[in-house]
Amino acid sequence: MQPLRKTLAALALTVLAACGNQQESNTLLVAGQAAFDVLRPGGRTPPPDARQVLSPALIAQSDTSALLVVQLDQNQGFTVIPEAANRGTVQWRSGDDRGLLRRDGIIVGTRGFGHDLYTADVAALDAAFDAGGAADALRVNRFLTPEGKIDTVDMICAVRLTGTETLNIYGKLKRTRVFEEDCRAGGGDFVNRYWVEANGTVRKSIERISPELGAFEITRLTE
Amino acid sequence: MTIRTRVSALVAALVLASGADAQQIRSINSYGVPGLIDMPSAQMQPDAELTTSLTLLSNGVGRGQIAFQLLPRLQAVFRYATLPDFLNVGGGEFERTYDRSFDLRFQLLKEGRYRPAVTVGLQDFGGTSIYAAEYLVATKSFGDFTVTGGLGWGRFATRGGFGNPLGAISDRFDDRPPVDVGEGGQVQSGQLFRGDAALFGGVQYQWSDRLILKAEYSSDAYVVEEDRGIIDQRTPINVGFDYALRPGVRLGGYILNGAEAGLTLQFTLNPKRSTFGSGVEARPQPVTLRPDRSANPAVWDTAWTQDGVTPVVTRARLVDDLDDEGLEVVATKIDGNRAEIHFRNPRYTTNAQAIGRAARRATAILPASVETFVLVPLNARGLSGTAVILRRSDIEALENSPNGTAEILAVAGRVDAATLDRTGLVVQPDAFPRFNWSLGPYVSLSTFDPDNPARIDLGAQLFGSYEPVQGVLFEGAIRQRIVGNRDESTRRSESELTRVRTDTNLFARTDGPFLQFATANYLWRPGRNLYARVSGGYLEEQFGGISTELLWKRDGSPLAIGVEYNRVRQRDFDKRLGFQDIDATTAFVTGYYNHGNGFHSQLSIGQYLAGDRGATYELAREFSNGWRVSAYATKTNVSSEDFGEGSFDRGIRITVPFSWVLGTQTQTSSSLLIQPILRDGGARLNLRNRLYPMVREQSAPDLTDDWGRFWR
Repeated sequence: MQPLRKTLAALALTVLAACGNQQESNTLLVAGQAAFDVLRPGGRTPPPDARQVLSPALIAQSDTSALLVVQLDQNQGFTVIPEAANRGTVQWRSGDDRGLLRRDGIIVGTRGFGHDLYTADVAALDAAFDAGGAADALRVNRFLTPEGKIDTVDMICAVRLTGTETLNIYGKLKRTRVFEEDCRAGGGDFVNRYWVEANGTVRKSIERISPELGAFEITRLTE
Repeated sequence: MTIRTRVSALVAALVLASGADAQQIRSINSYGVPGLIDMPSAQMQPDAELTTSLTLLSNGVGRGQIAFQLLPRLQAVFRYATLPDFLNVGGGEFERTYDRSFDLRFQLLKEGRYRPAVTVGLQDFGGTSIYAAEYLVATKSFGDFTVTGGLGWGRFATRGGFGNPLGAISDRFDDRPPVDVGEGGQVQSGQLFRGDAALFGGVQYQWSDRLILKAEYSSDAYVVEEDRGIIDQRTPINVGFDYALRPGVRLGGYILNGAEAGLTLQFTLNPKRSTFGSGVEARPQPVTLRPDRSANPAVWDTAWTQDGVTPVVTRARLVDDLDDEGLEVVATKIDGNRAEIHFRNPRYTTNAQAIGRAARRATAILPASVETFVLVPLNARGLSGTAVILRRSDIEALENSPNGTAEILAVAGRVDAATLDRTGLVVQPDAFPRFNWSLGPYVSLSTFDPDNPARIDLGAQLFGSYEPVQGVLFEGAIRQRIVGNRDESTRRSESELTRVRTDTNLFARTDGPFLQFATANYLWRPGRNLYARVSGGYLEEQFGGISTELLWKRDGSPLAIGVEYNRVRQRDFDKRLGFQDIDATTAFVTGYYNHGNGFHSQLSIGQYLAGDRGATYELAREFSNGWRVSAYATKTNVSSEDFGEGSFDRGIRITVPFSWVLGTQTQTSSSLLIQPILRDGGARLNLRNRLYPMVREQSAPDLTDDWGRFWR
């Protein structure tokens, strides 16, 4: 047997034979397990896209609030349901233990996506919806860096009412005002869009999470 | 974790090149630093960039380099090179040689709108100085063109040389004395910027986002290589290209002096960048709010403390729920308004995140009357450090506050857990005894052996540890080598010192199962700010005996001081139960200092294994995510001649956390120690369970530096 083949065979045998209750201390096993998770049969099967299974009937049967979230850069849709509310911030969770935090229908945090939005101060944006727009709405986004530090980005954004639109949310028509939050001139590099109903409900939005994650399109399916 | 991110994780793990931003990473020269083909430029890599490169020439020359951007303006390089038919072995015969070298580069000026970047560099400034050169170089970008021009000394002044301009300052710059190699490893300070100087320069053209074209005029005449017949130059002009294969991976190709073809492969990593950003582990559980007190006064009373059931059920739920977070509850102390939770954290890379997760879980379990949470994270050996005291109402109020991380830190109290009153502390019945074991593969790596750049053994390891009670630990590992070449090293030790490390290759020759280590340990907190350890047994692969250590470390202080004393005997080469006749006593006083911004110093003064006395200094740059890059040097009262090749002990350590590679929380990491050569002088024991690395993250400043992950 060639040395390389012998080595690979030995490695495979020792990894396959691995056992015990403290395997996480073995770096080769941790690396091997990560590789196995990807390469095993079925390991590459993509999760179903929520948009493929959602229907008006399914939504009507839901006994809880739900949002459809589409990660636009990956064109992947999933749903989230509310888990808890604390002082106006609602925590939503997905089926695979990722999380979304929203305040007044605006995203103020994500968890478990990698390059998450850690927190966002968007009080001025919500006030701008009520006022029909604002020229200088302060937005403070905070990101948790790979180093574990908080990176704070202050932006002054122009909030403009651009028109009205009637949305068809799986058969239900929702009349909305459309706002643009343009942060390009005030320290940011993005434009968010919000479809807001007369009662203040944000029915739909396209919001930039982070430069790496891009934007999420969020649609309120219920209520 | 999505499939896409999993695939990315594997790719990252395999090529060690994830998350790199191709726009910021500089194209490198054949020596592994930003530059043209052979000539350097004045550019620097992004801060903290770790650049690994491999250069191969068609004449059989090879160079491997690791360059670390220690500071935004300071880059350090380690190089391992091989040249065919270079080493003069007498009788007109030449053999392939292997050579290790170091570079330092400092950027004097950053590039401005009209101003070029200017960098001064020392290349191969110690030892055999095969590649020794100094340079002052300027680089300016003009759109897609980047122009470089420089002044070189040493090797970079062997073509077109002229009188040294520095001679105007002092005559001593006019002549470059011959290299005094000695035992190697010495800084050739008498050569720096001496002798003739010469001009070099070149231009890069950014053809596309991925492709860079390069041309240069080289001032390196390859004098010695010409003499040896290794190269036959036809022109001083070198041309080449550099292509970004994927983010963080670049391939360069070039024609050197119209005579040789070359390839350079470049991998870049940066602790500040990760494919997974802040991580893809599951979201935390939300804080559970208590009902309004005025509307539900009964829920807030403390009658539950007397019912005999609630405390028991509460403890059981704490154990279960914290277990869901990967945290192991060891002991609790719960009364009407205060709960103290001692838990091990085998999962999260920062104690701040573990504390944050535990606190949120506790809000869902503890009765409403419990307002004060005292959270005591324990390290892997069960030792406590700082206890963090949080008001439950603060946790409730700040959970979703935009600046909640800073705000919860501002109201958190910290006390030394050793000062907590243990009366009433209930140790979980199943907390002890603890038995852990694993069977799996192991790798032993010997790098930069003078005869072979890498020797590797691969085998199977059976590990076990047993903790009958808090602080008492028995642990050991048996190994069986399966394949490898570490036993093929035939270097015979000719050391003038007691052979405490130069017989390492003899230890690698054992064929049967061997005892890697087997120790009995007692670890405890003797008092406020104090940590202690006593160990006995087969302490490491080559020595057995007893080891004692005491550490003073105060929460909030950047300084810690440790003392250790070890009395050991060298083990038999078969690494079973026997010992040889070499006894050694080592003792050290060590100061640890956290400079801030991730920089840490460690100075140890004392007696080493061979009986020599001196000091070891280590400077490390660390990142909260677990990355660590450090360099150390040891100088003892052993002369360079007695020390042998290399003159003194030194090395580089690189630690890469798996959580950074995989995106999930795990404390597993991979460390690589690069020692140019292993000698007997300045040798220390490779002890497990040294106190400072084990306990430092349990108290400030480390604890608070990592606080950003509290709400993650």
